[in-house]
Amino acid sequence: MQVFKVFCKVLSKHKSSILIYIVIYLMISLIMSRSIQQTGELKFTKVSLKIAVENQDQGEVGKGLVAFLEKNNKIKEVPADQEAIKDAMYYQEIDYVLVVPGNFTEQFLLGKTEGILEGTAVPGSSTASLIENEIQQYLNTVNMYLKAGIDADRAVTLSSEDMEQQAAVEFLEESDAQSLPAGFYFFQYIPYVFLVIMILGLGMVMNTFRDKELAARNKCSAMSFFQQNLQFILGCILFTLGVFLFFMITAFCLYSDYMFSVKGLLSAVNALAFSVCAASVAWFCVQFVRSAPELSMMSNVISLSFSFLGGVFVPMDLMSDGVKQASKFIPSYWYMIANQEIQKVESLAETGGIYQSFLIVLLFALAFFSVGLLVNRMKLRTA
Amino acid sequence: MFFRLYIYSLKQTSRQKLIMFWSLIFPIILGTLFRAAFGEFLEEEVIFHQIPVAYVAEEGASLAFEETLNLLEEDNGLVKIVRTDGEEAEILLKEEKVEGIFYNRASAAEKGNVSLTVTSQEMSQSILSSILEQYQRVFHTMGNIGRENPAGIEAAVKEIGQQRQYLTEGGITDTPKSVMTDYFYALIAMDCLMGVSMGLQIAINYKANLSNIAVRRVASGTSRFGMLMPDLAARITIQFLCTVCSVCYLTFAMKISLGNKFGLLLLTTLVGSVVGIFMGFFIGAIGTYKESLKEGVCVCCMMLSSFLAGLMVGGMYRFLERYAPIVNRINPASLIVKSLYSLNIYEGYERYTQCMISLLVIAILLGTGAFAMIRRERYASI
Repeated sequence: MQVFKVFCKVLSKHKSSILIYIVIYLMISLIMSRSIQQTGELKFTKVSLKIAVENQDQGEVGKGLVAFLEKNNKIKEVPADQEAIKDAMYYQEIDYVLVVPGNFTEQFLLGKTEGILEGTAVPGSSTASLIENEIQQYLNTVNMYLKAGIDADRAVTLSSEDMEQQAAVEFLEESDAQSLPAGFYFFQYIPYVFLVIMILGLGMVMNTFRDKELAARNKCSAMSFFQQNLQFILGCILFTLGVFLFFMITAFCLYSDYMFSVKGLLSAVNALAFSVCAASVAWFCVQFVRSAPELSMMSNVISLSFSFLGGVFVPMDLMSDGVKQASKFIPSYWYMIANQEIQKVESLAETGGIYQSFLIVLLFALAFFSVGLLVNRMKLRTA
Repeated sequence: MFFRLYIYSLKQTSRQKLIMFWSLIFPIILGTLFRAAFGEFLEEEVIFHQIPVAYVAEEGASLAFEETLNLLEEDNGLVKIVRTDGEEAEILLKEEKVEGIFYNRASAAEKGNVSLTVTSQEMSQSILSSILEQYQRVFHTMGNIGRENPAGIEAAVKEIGQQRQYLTEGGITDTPKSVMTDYFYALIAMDCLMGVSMGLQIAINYKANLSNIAVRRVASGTSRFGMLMPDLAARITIQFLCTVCSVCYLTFAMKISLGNKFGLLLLTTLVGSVVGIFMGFFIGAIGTYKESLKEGVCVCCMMLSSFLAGLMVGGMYRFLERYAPIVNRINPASLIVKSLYSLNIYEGYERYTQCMISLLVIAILLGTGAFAMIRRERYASI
């Protein structure tokens, strides 16, 4: 087992840099899953915002509007001057500023509706548009009552009631209704992290073996080529499994409930399939690399592009159809599909589609391995 | 001597293909990826795909909801209705041929006659649910009017679907900003911090255990500060030029609006590049560790810093402001993002200046620390 031993030795020589990568990327994936989980949970639930309201209007409509906003949001005082408002927005102390002018009710009752309120959203905030929508709808309703000949006081009360109406949304199966478990978000970032670690870790060792003189010496040794490769592959499997187990143990410690369910099991299998694929992507990348810095360059380019296009960082809903079609040629796309499908599964009996995704990821692994092998052979021939 | 060394250093750096890749090509690749990933969102007008939805109506159910749906299908093209029966609809939903099912019942159920059934909580389902919600509200309003003043219904009905703009945009800023712009700011921040690899190279050239040129430099009688200055100046120049290239690529080729204060934008990238170079220089100057380890630490620092500034997940700033605000104050990439943000959003320059001062302080601390480590370093044996 000389080759295997050397493999381990080379690995242990680089252990500090590999460990740094593992720890940093584990941290990144934990923070990512935490922050995404928070935004993800907002769907279908009312968002509560911090709104600064300055109501100069003494009329019923103005008061009614503020009372309506107060029900679901936190109302704050408007900071004293323009600069203070900017500061509060800058540090996210308020999400929205609403100014109700003194003659608001008067104008509203007269039927003037265009631009009679002044609202400022924190630039670039996606949630602020929700509150604008609520204000618009509320005032539309009040307006309808007024047009129907109902007096302003009553219109304001009734409108507030109407706005309480919620859509009756049901889920086809009970399992659909549950918000996604924290474990799901942990597994979402696995493709990015695995690709970086595999390309860097395995790449470093493979690169050592590809050194021209070392390779030449190995070739004329007594050990058969097959034996050498077998031991080398054994080393790769060990490293891949090691990284996989490290992440799974972390998952078990953090999300034990999730990991001990069918979903957890399938997620782990999914991650395993992807780790194999990442290892063969590493083999493929090494063929084009000569030094360690080049390797870290390659790992970043490949992992980021696979993750962005595969829907790891950006939801696939946002992508255009063309990009979506193209991303089908990327293994992380299929990993993500499987990860989403797994959340719908209750028992092992209903996992048909998921196996298909596993299989596709493994086929990608085979493809990257074969192309890597081809490039390797061609380079040997020209060398 | 300064200029001669400066020119040599410029030539030497620009011939290092790998470093040029990191600083010049990588941000361009990433920018293109961003563009591909959020392509539709950046076009301002989000093209919603027609959402296929099944519609199951019981006999005798109210026609009002169906009319609303027809309106949405024909006029707005927002939904695509598949009229079918209950069983068929469930099959379609399970096969994901429709995004949801609207049930319109004849007898009033607890929450009204119409309900929506879905299997997941994605964007399309949110749109369907808000359609239903608006309908329920208007339905309720009409019911109230019917009870309070039936004669007014006709006037009220005319109001349905009227688009009124009650709100005017307040005067805090007039630069429109998309949520996605933050990703590009983070990209520029990362681009600046890419200077770490160049900075590391400078330090390696003064570490006698890591490079041959350092052995010669350490042994020579010339002041190290005198040799270091042109090196630093040259790398900062190249890093800055690379950043300018990618900013130009984003603005002119990718047509991404980064604001109209181009001069100050470039000043920010200059300061950012200085911080990037000094960060690499500082990491390289620590101890006698191997180059590959330092390289790893550099890449990790750069990635972590950019990640915390929102390169991979949007909304990081908000998240950190809530749990660890200190990170936003000292993380170079966050400071770069925030300075670009304040430059384009706010009229005054106080916040911008604040960020820039923080960045300069970080640069000075890193630079002084690194030089203190390299200064008078002696080797008993290599």
